Amino acid sequence: MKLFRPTENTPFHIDYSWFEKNGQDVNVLIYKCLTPEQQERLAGVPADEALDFVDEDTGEVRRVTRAMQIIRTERADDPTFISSRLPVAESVFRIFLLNDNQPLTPIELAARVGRKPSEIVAQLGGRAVYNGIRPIMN
Amino acid sequence: MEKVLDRVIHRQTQTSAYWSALTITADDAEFLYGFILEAGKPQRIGDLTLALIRHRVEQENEALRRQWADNNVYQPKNRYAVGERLIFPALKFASGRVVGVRPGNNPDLGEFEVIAVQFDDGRRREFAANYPRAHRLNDEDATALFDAQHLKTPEALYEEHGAQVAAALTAALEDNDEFIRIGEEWFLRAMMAEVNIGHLNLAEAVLDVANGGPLTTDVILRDLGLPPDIGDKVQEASLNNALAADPRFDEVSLNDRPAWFLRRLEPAEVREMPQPLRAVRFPGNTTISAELTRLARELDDELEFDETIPVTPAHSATLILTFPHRRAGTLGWSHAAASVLPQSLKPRIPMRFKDRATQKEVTVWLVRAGRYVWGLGDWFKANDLPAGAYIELSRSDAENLVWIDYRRRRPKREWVRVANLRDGRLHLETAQRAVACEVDELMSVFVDDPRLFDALRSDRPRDVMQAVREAFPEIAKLSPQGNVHARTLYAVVNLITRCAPTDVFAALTASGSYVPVGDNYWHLSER
Repeated sequence: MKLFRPTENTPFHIDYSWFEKNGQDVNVLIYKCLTPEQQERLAGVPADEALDFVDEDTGEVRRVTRAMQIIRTERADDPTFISSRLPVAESVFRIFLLNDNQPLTPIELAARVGRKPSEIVAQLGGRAVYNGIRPIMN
Repeated sequence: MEKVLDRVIHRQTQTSAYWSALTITADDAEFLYGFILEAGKPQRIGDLTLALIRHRVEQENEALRRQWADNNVYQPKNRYAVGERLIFPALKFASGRVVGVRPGNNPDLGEFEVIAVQFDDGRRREFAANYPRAHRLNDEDATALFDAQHLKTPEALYEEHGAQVAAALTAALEDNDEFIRIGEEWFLRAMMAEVNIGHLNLAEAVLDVANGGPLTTDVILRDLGLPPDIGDKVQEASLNNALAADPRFDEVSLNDRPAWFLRRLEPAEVREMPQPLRAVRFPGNTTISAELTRLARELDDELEFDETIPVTPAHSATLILTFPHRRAGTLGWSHAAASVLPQSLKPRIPMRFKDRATQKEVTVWLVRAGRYVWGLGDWFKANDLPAGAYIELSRSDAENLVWIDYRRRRPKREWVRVANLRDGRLHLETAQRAVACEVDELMSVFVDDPRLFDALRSDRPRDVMQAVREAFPEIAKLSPQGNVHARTLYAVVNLITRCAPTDVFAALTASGSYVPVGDNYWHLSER
């Protein structure tokens, strides 16, 4: 089988099935993206309860968890939510949470996290999968 | 999720791709037919192009209006029922039908509904409805989406894409029998007035009385008596078309207002190339040196005029008079001359040259076949200009008037190169002659009786190689070293045979009897 090597132009996204296959719960990872105060507000709320989230640009309704709703409504404009101080995999994961998991290339991601595209490829394009982030193979 | 990138209706006519791929359809032709019909007179391609662009833009607007007529613009604050058609400005104006309604579930947002929409492309998505909270789409005025203020106007599109649309349109109109091209304008064949042979004979008589012309079409029309119910412009267009198709007439205008001349009354030298200008070519493919190629380009002979090199307009140009032109009373319509003369593709055009010193005007003809300007014989004679004299042309404010002058100086007798015939062959000598103008030292040749050379050309025509062989030793003997400059050779060869510099240099190179000694000087080979 030919080895697939992602490049700076290969689109990546969060592969949610990866969490299931590896016995992990993505909601735990999402929960960690919240501030302590936000985590406190979620105490007692089922992690997988689905709410209708209304997109502020299009009016489109998506079924999301309460944690996701908080991230999208309260953290989208927070400059500390995505920064070059965070590990690459963490920053990229957060970008995909905010953009509804729309695929992005390392070049596009690099511009948003303040890193070089080659760093993104080196971190996310190897065998190890971080936070379920994987390249999309055609 | 599709984010809102632009909140305007995507219009193809706003893109370059649309205009560069434009194909003129039958509908376009029908529209342009109506456009010209309504105008009642011929239209320039630029006007037709702008009209077509306006038409295409309006067609697109109309299509959008039709598309939107049965659709409501989606706004979250409104309630929608199953079956209702909606259009979504934030999703590039995709449209779809409401196929379901359910209550929304989000305690933070209060009560609202969620509608399921089946899009025309098959996708199914959900949207908020009866949603009174602040939302960008709720605040938007749906009618403003049609607002054309941000769009490029047809005039702006014409500025940007007019050239390529005009090219496509011209090609399409040329292929369409319903349209007829009259000069720079387009008209409908069906609207043309009938111009019969009687009208054309009358036109010939009118021009005959005017010494051949030129007369503008409206002046000729006065005597033709075309039906008065046909508009002036149409009458003019019809007559222009008929005159253009009749070989008796030449269109000789320098501007976009046609003017006509009776061909048989044009000077014979304009209808047919004067004998001294008829050139012979050197056969074969001899390659000449880069140095000689540069010199040939510098000599700028109209025989080697390259149509593919654009002419850069200039205020003035200096030409060197050569013997064939001196004899024919012409100047070469070379690159240098073309930079000052009006640009035209017409076969023959009369215009005026005005002597800067005497202020006298001369009528000259620009003749495209052979690229020469005829009509200067008397002026050359009056000023006693020899071959090799510098002639200066400069533009005037009037489009059909060019200043002409030569480099004047106080006349004095000088030792110069004089050409004669001896025993039917070229003979050069150095003799004293009165010189009243500045000349190119390498190219000047004084000829006491030019008629002798006419006889030489007609009785014993030389090919290029023979002419080089005859001219070279005659030039060489006038120099102590026996050297001959290629420039002088070109000038002297042209006394006996009209030919282009490249042909002279090819014969010089191919002969094997001459060797280059540098700086375009050549010497008789000692082999």
